[in-house]
Order: sequence, then C-alpha cells, then structure tokens
Amino acid sequence: MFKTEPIMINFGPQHPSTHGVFRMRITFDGERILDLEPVFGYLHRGIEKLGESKTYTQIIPYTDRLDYLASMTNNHAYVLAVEKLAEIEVPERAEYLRVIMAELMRIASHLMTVGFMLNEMGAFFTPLLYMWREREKILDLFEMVCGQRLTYNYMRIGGLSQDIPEEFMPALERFIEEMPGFIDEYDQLLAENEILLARTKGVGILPPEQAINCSVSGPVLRASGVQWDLRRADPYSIYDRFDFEIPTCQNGDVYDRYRMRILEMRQSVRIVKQAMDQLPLGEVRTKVSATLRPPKGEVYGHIEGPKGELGFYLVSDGSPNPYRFHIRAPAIINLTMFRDVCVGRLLADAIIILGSIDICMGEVDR
Amino acid sequence: MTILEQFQQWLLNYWPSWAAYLVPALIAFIIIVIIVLVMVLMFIYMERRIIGRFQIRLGPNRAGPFGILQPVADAIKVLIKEDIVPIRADRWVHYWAPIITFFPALMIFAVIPWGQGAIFADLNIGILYVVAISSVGAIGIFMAGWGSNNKFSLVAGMRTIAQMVSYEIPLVLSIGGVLIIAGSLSMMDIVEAQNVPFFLLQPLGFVIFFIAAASEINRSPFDLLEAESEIVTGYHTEYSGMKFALFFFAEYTHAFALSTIAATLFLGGWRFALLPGPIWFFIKVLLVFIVLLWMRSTLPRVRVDQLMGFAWKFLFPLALINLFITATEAIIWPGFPWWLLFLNFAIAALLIVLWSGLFPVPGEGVSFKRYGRGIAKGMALTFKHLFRHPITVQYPEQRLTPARRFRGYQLVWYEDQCNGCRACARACPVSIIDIETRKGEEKGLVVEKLEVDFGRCLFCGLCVEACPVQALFMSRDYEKASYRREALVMNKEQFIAAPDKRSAYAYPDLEDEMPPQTLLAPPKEGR
Repeated sequence: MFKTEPIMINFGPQHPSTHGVFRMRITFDGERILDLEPVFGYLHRGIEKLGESKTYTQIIPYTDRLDYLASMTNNHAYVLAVEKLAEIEVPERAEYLRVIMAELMRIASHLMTVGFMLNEMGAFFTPLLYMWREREKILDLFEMVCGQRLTYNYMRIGGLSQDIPEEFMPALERFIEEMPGFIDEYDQLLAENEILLARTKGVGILPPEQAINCSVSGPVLRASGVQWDLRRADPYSIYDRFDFEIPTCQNGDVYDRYRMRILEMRQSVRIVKQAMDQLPLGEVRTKVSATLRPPKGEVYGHIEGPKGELGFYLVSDGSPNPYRFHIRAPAIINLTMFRDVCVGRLLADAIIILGSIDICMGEVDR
Repeated sequence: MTILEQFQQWLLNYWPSWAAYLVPALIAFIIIVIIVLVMVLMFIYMERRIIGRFQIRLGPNRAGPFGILQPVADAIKVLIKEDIVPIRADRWVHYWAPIITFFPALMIFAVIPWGQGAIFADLNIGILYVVAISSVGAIGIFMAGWGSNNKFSLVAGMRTIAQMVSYEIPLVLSIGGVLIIAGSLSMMDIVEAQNVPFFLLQPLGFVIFFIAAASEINRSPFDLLEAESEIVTGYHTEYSGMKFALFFFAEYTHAFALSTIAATLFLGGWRFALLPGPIWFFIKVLLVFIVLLWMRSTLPRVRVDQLMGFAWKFLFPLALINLFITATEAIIWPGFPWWLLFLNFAIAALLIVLWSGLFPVPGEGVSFKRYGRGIAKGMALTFKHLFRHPITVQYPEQRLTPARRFRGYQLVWYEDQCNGCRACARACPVSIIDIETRKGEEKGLVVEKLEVDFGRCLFCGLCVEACPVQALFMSRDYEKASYRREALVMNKEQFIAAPDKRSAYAYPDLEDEMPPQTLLAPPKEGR
C-alpha cells in the first residue's frame, strides 16, 4: 500500500512574504499545517548590548533601527523613558508635535501592514501601491521636519531636535483633509470583496483569553475584543487632552485585524486634527546636557506603538551610559500565539495570519 | 471551404498532390506561429503597461518608444541567462516540462477562425479539439512540479492537477449551451450562427466560461500555481534561462488562446459591422484580455479549498442548470429569437444571487448580498485609477529636490571656522569621526587630520548639532555611491566647503535661501 508522510518545508529566511528574514519551519500534510515553528534571529544586531556603551542621546539613532517602519514611535517611546528617569520637563509645543508625529507614524505603519497583508492575499500590488502613495506623503512631511525618510532621529531628550519648518503646517493640513477620502477608497477597494471575506473571516481566530495569556498587545489584541490601549489605559504624553475612540472588533480573526487598522487610521487622523488646532507656540526643547547623567534608578516607559506596547526598560547607575537597556518589542511578543492559531489551517492561511500580526524583523531580532 | 483549402485546390493544378498540400500548410503554419508570437509579445507588453496604469504607475517605458521593445529586451535577457538544473532534479522530466506545456497552447490556434475562411483547419469537431488539447498543458506543469525536486514546486504541481480537473468540467458544460444553439462543433459554424452574439443569449454560460477559463490559464484570482506570496513562484521556481522563458511564453500563449476562444464562442468572432473581420476579432480578443488584467489588478487570490469548492458547488451546478435551460429553450423556441436574451439575463441574475446565498461568508448566516457586489465595487475603483495621474518619478530626467533639512551624503566642513573642539567626534554614536589637532600659532587648535568613514555613518546628524561654531553641516547630496569601501572614507582634503551644498539641518536660518522640497501632495494655493 501507499505510505504517506508529512512534508517539512522552510518558509524563509528568504521568501517573498516573510517580512524580512523571518523563517517558518512548517510541517504539512497536503496543504494542512501539522506543525509550525517560527525561527528568527537572522537580523540580530545586539542593539540592547550596544546601548550600554552609548550615551543616552546617542541611543536615539539606534532606536530608529528597531521597527524601521515606525521609527518616530520608537524615538518617542525611548525619550519618554529617559525623561521619566531623569525627570525632565518637556515644553508644550514639543509634546503636541510629538503626538502629531506619532499619530502620522501610526497611519504610515498601518498603511504598510494592510498593504502587505492584502498583497500576501494575492491582490497583485494594487492596494499596496495605493497605500504607499499615502505613506509617501507622510514620509515627505517627515523629511521636511527632520531631513530623513526612514531613520528620523527627530526626538531628543527634553523635546525635539528642531522646530517644524514654515511649510509643514499647510502640507499637513492638506494631507489630513484628504486622508479620510483615501481611507474610504481602501474600504471600497476590498472591504466587501467576497474573495477577501472568504479568505479572512474565521481564519486565525485568537480568543481574548488566549490573547491576554500570550501578552499580545496593540491592534491584534483589540481585534480580539479586549479594549486595551495605553493611550487610554495609562495616558502618557498629552493623550488625555484629545477626544478619540479606542475601536475594538469582536471575532479576533484576520479580517478583524485588517479592520482594526483601518479604524485606527481614522482615529489617528482625528487626533492629528485636534493636535493641529491646539498647537501652542513656544520652545520645542529644554536644554539637556549631551552627556546626561540621570540619577541612579530604573524605569520602564511604554507607549502604544502601531504594532502594540513598545516599552523601554532602563537602569541607570549614575554614569552617562545606561547600565541596562532593554526593549519590549511588541512584534516578537505578538508572535507567541502564531503557532497556536496556524496549526490545522492551510498553507495559504499561515501567510496571511503572519501578515495580520504585522511583524518587523528589525524589532523582532533587535 | 477555407482560404487554405482553396489555395491547395488551385495548386493541385500545377504541383504534385503531396507538395500542393504540404507547402501551403507549412506556410500557413508559419504565419500562424508568427502571429501568435507577435501577439504574445504584445500581450506581455500590454499586461505590464496596463497593470501599471491600474496601479497608478507608468509601467516599462524605457526600451524603445513607449517601451514597446520591453518584451524583446526581456527575451534577450532570459536567453543569455545560465540554464540551471538542480542537482537532484529528475533531468528528463525537468527538461521536457516546458516544452510539453508550451506546444499544446500553440496547437489550439489550429482551429481558431481569424476571419471569413481564415482558419488553419476547419475541423468538424473543432471545439472538442480545443478542450482536449488545452488540458494537456497541465501535464507539463505537473512534470515541472515533480521534476524540479523542490517542495514549493511539488505543492504547485498538486494544485495544478486539482485545479485543472475541477475547472475543465464547468468549462465544457458552459460550452455545451453554445453548441446547442449553434448546432455544430465546428468553430466556423459557431461563428456563422452568431447573428446575436452568444454572450447575450448565454449570459450565465459566458460568466461560467470566463471564470473557468481564467482558472484554466491560472490567471488571478485563480493563480494558485505561482502564488508568489505562498509558494514562491510555484512550478517554475527551479527554472531559469530559456526553459523559464518557455513557461512564461506558454502562460501568455494560453491566455491568448483562451481569449480567442472566448471571442469566438461568445463575442461573435470576426463578425461585426464596418471593419474587416480580423480587426474585429483582435479587438474582441484584446477586450477579453483587458478584463483579465483588470481582474488581476483588483482581486485577491482564492484559497485552494475555496477554489475547489467554487468549482464543484457553484460553477458545476450552475453550468448544468444552464445547459438544461438552453436545451429546454431549444425545444420551445428552436430559432432562438433575440428577445430570449431578456429572459436569459433575468434567469442568470436570479441564479447567481440565489446560489450566493447558499455559500455564505463564515459567520454571516444565509444572506443574498454576497453575489459579487464587493468585487464590482473594487473593480470600479481600480478602473477609476486607470485615469488618475501616475505617481512614477522618471528618475534621471526628473529629479526630486530633497527637503531643505535633508541629511544627505557627505559633510560640509569649513576649516577656517573649526576650532578643533572634538564635539562632533564625541557626539557621534558610531565613533567614525577621527580628528587630530595640534596647537597653532595664530589660532588655538589647528586640525591636522579629519577622517570620516561614511560606510558606517548613520547620517543621524548629531555631529552637526553638536558643533558649537557652525563649522559642520550636513549636505543635500543623495547621488553618490561607490563599489570600493575605502572610497567611502573621506579625509580633510576631500571635504568641500561649498555653501550651495549645505543642508539646513540644525541651522533653520539657512532655509530661506534654498529651493523648496518636491512634495507628492503640495499644499493648495491660498493657505
């Protein structure tokens, strides 16, 4: 008689849809996944150890290189942690600008996520390119304020590296005015598409209990119906001044994770609009020494990044360099549930589940 | 009598019979192959350009005017590539697979009527021949999947067989309706019978045929064989050079062939008013192909189990019902009067909506609103984008101005300003600024050596910010590269002090004198 045996196959580290150098070792029978093992570490650069030999200011460019699709948010989380440690006051205007940048970054990161997820679903680059167009506009704005399109290094301990230029506000105004229309277009393009619904509904369901047990955060958690957003749960910066909602979905499947991103983009547009209206005049930076020596102690500062809770844990021994520098990267922790939701599904499902978790290897491997 | 047969009859008067039959047949064969090859090249070009416009890009436009030589350039590139055979591959199977895939696709054209009498062989079983031949290609694809000894290819091979077997059935059944109306299997007779194009009399049959044909030629949304995001490129993962080119060619030849069959069976072939037959034929073929491209640029891919489910639960019963209805109509109204089209359209719409309710989206319950409205909405949006301005930047001719604060390649350094305080070297996170000073006579410190390794530079701008005497600036250049790593290490002599190269990074006062940044969405006037 015939003897059958499962096939073991390596997806990655070089594979078109593994978001960098992620590797999945999949054992499957026909097309059904029997076992899946995520393997990573190919992009490990030792940023945490490196940070221990740098001054607090010098670490900021390194945080750009964690989640390179949301560098602004990384800057933000890091400087907030240091400011908490050294008890530095930040000028009002800088706080508002930080919020504007962080929310624009959230939109840009979600655009990438949704675009690539749809691309992995087989929508041949069209949604991705439409979304890139808007992301490009955001990058233009970032280039205007800080001179780079990917690694911004814009925030400083005690404020921002420099104030926004004159032409920034009109350009931002135009973007914020047009963006809701573009989000409607993305909805029109695929939100009701029967193929997309069939592909994503009921796929990769993550129950809320399991999500909490796996310490999942960000849109992935909220898609499972848990209303947990650090902007509300533990307000940092000046988020308590804005009027916005924390959208949640119910089912926790791939479709909900896709919807979450679209809904969050709308809320981010709302926040940016309010911040623009309230933006005060004044300084953007309190003077902080380049070789800052925070008092002895430890601190954990966290913010709600586009991918989830991004935290920085710093231990200071009173010297200009941190004694310990640790990053709580959301992407790697969100990956803990990956195997559980994939086993028993088909090969094609694993790819889109990975896309819906939204990992960025720079952050997973650090 | 076809044109070819008439020519052969005429030649019989002068030549021996074997030559009179063979020579015109060979000539006709060569003409058809040339037409097919040219059309396929055109299809490849059109696909890339039109999908580019759907995606607000320009598409290839460099090789020749409007980029029309792009497929030729691609062909040359592919031909001069090394032909790699994996070491553990099944060599013969690997070798024959592209050939077996390509030739059946070419053989279909033997029975395609290009115009009045312009057909290579008017077989009386024409459409049966097409159905039989076009499914041979699947064997070649499966051979490629097996012979490559690659797991991705093997998955693609298994998918091929499943897909081909499933979709062949609705395809043939949907053709059945046409055959009942035309009363013949010959392609010429089918065209002759279309006083009303059959897609009007057979709307449901046309939809089923179109979907099944798209699956047959592995076009999106049924392109599971080469699902790039899942199984890399599927069956031709391990192919390179000419063999890959043959697969690529076979795919487009098959697409062309199925487009011609759709045009022949449902769109009235070469028949229409005013223009000569062959021109109408090509226009119709192109229309079919453009709809395929439109689908490709809009729709996500279906999953393999949904693909099979769709064939067996949706297309197969509908095709059967369609055949039954057509047969009933043939008994009641044997002449198929034109007003039947209203009845048939109503039946088709009703059946599609009804059937959509039977296979609801998971978690939604039975509802009759998932009959393709979402797909239509998405396709309307991509169609709108066809007329939007493409966002492509034609780089060497069209240069973008970077931001005024751009942190570009190379530093701008003013030697006479510098007081050698080393603030920049201390601020640098990667310690790439090597600076040595000595005590000067007039000035306090004179810089002896300044070396920066731009191969390791993060371009973070901390050095510029740290400079207390405005001696160091970022530059706005972005067009420098080097193959030699040592060329990236710059010393004192190589630093320029050109004011026009300076960036306003950390010096906002400089901004006024600089050209504005190119923005994708510049602010509107009057703000």
